[in-house]
Amino acid sequence: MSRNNTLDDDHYPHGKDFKAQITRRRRIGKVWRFIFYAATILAIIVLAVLLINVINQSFGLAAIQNEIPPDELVRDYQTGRMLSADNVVSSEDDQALAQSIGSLDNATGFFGYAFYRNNADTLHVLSVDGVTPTAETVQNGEYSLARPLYIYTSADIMTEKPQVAAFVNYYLDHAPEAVDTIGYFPAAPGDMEASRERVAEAQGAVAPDRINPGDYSGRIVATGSSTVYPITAAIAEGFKAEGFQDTIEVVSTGTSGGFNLFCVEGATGIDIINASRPISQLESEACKANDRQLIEIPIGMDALAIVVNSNNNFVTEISREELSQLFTSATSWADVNPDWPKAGILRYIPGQFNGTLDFFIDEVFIAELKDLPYESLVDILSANISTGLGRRFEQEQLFFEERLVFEDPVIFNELCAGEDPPEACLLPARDTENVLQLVRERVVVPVVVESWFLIDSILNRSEIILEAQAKYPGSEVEFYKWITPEFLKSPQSSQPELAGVRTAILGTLWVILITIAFAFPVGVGAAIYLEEYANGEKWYNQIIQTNINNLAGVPSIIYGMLGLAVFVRALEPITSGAIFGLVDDATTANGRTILSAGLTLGLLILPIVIISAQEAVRAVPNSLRQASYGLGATRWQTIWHHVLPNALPGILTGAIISMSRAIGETAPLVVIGASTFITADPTGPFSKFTVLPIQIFQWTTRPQGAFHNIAAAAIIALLILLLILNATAVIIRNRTSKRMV
Amino acid sequence: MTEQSLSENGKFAIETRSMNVYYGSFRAVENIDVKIKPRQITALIGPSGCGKSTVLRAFNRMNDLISTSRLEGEVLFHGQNIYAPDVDPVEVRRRIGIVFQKPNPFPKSIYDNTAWGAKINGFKGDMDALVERSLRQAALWDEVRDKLDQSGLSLSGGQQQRLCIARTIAVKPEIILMDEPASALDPIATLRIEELIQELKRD
Repeated sequence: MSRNNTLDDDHYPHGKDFKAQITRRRRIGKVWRFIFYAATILAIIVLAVLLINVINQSFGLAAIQNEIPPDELVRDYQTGRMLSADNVVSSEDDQALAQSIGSLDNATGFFGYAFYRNNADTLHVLSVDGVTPTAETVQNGEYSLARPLYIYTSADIMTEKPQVAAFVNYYLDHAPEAVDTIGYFPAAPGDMEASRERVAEAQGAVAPDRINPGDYSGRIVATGSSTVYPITAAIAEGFKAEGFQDTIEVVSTGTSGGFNLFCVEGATGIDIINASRPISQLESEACKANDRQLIEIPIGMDALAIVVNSNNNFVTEISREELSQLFTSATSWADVNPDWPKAGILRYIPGQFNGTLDFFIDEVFIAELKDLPYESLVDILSANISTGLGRRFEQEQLFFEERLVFEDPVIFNELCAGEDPPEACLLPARDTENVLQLVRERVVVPVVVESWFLIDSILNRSEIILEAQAKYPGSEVEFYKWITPEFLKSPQSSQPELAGVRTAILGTLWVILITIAFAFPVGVGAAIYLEEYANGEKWYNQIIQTNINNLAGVPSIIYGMLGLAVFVRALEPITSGAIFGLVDDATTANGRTILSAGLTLGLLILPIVIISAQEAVRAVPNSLRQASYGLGATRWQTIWHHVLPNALPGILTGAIISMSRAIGETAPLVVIGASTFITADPTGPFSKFTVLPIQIFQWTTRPQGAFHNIAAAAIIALLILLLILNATAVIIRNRTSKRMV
Repeated sequence: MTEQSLSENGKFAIETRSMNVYYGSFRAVENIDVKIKPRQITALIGPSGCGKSTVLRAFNRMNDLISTSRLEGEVLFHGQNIYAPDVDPVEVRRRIGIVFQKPNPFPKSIYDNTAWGAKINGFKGDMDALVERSLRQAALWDEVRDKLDQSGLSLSGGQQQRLCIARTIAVKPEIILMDEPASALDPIATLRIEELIQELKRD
């Protein structure tokens, strides 16, 4: 020791000083621990924010506008069937219908119950599903072709405008007689009582027994259903007749029109809404968002009467199933029911602009697109798409085994006998699911006009619904999952609602397969050579080693340039598959294939594979090699039996990391020219392709919001794919390392 | 260091003539001339770092594995120079086995540890019998007979070292070199190894 102080003292702190010294050492450790902790937390937060952001964009409310709303499509279809039936007369004048049926023995038809009552001497009303329309069966809901009628108002309006409260109470008192006069059925007494209580509660006071309209003043405005219109108008007349001096305005806008004005647009000045159906959930939510709480007041029932001539003695009741035949496909009564005579049916039905026809259709026919039978779906499809498109679909797959819908049979048979027969010649006919999908895609065409993020959708649901209803009238707001099994299974499309990532996922898998197949054996081989064979002292080996280390840091786009020059251009005959005769059309073949991409990415990750494999080989203890040599093993036996198996977990770890890198690479593939829009699945190394990162990149550059949603969904798909591939690799690694005891 | 051999021609099993071993430019041992008789236990003794291991490893060309090492002089095995250009080091190591200072079983089962050397050297006989005999000779059989499929690394230090000896015996070398085989072991394990060496001399 060259220190000049003596070593007699021990020069260490003792007692208190020692304790303080320990504390000081600890404090340094604590500071570092805190820094590491903070860094870890930061990393986790960043990751969480990223994930939340992606998930936030992959789910949420979306305003969807259909080119043709499905229920309208079905109603049009059913209306068409009814109007095109044999011997059908349609008229907007219900009285004329009633008279015609009254004068023709084999006639039948339907209209509001009031018209039956006025012509009861010449007509005969049928019971439907065994139920005859009477006040009782209509009120208790047994008679199915009946609907309740309502008025709606709000507590605020009644408090603010006493004249409205008075009118509503007056309405409740006089509704049963007014309804009866017009020809509807009164609401059930219990319902009326409940309405009275609800109104009293909303008013905060029990209504006076007798209302004197003369005591009140101020305008009253009622709007909405045309069916309820006459009732409200009649009661308004009575209200005025009893002394009310101000104006009562009753307008007919249709039920939806009334709710839309009041709830969605938040129009002021409307006091009462007439409705022939209960308020829908969407309308109700829109009302709540506008701070308007509606009270529902049933005031009566409307019923359809299915009538025949009073001379008709063979039919007294009919089922809904029979009804749907009676007014569409059947020509004679016997077609509907064999017990009935073979006489032709004469049909008298309300006109297509009349709500009564719609109501009949809604009640009697299937209203949901998805519930329609196969033939109906095909009919809807053929009525709404061009023949050319129909032919294309039919060539892909037949609609019916026994007949053709779009194609000419002669031409189709020639095609099938020809050299390159369309797929339809071999495949069985389509199924309901398939045609339903076609109808949705080609006829309904749902378009997402605006989408909202998940968090926004949860927190501001009502505002969003309101905004959507105002901005896109007729749109439906629904919770939309952008990542669905459909999304994973569908190919790329220019419509974000229909687009999927199947092409991209398959492209990624193919490219990664080539990448690994190239980089893994070459990389491991190089590592073995450098570690076990090459003399590290030699200058040329050192140059190689230095080069590999530096290559690992070269920006990926440079590999893209290399791939473009070498694989796409110089080796085009090989990478395009032309040299193997694997190209269908030599004029369009080029080197921008999966093979080029896989080799480029293989080069990109090669240095990482080599370096990590070298590390793993170096980590195999020398004692194992010596033991092996000591038993008389050759170098190759030592490498094969001891070095490689023991280095394998490390080698595979490196391969997993580099595979993950390759999956996420975008830049080099952009340079070598991956397709940005491709709908054909890759079929082999010589296919054109796209990969998930490129797909994501392409979608994020689109201006439409919905593409950003599917880009986020594709990111989730990419992450899941990455996890699956990594998990598989990790499982393989653990299996192999376990085998070595 | 132990030596036991089936005496063939030549009076000495191993004989070195002015052997110098260099690591790079450093001369580790200088002008060694030793003569080792067959069927005997011969021990090399010396202070730490004097070159015992270097000399020992020179006898079966294990120093070849160190890229910087170089040997001058001659090492004769039954009169033949094992450093002659036409001699295959793999053959030398097959005939002159070595047991290292630290037990280094392969990360394989006890059975595979014993059988591997025989397998790669083209042993054609009954492998199970060979494994059993080798393990018996190494006085390990009774301890491992029921767990031959367990990892060699699951054994204790002394057992591992006896496994390494069994592994070496299995390829039937003419000479077994042992580089302080008991240095990492406790006294009881050491005693067993020493007994073992005595028994091996008898065979």
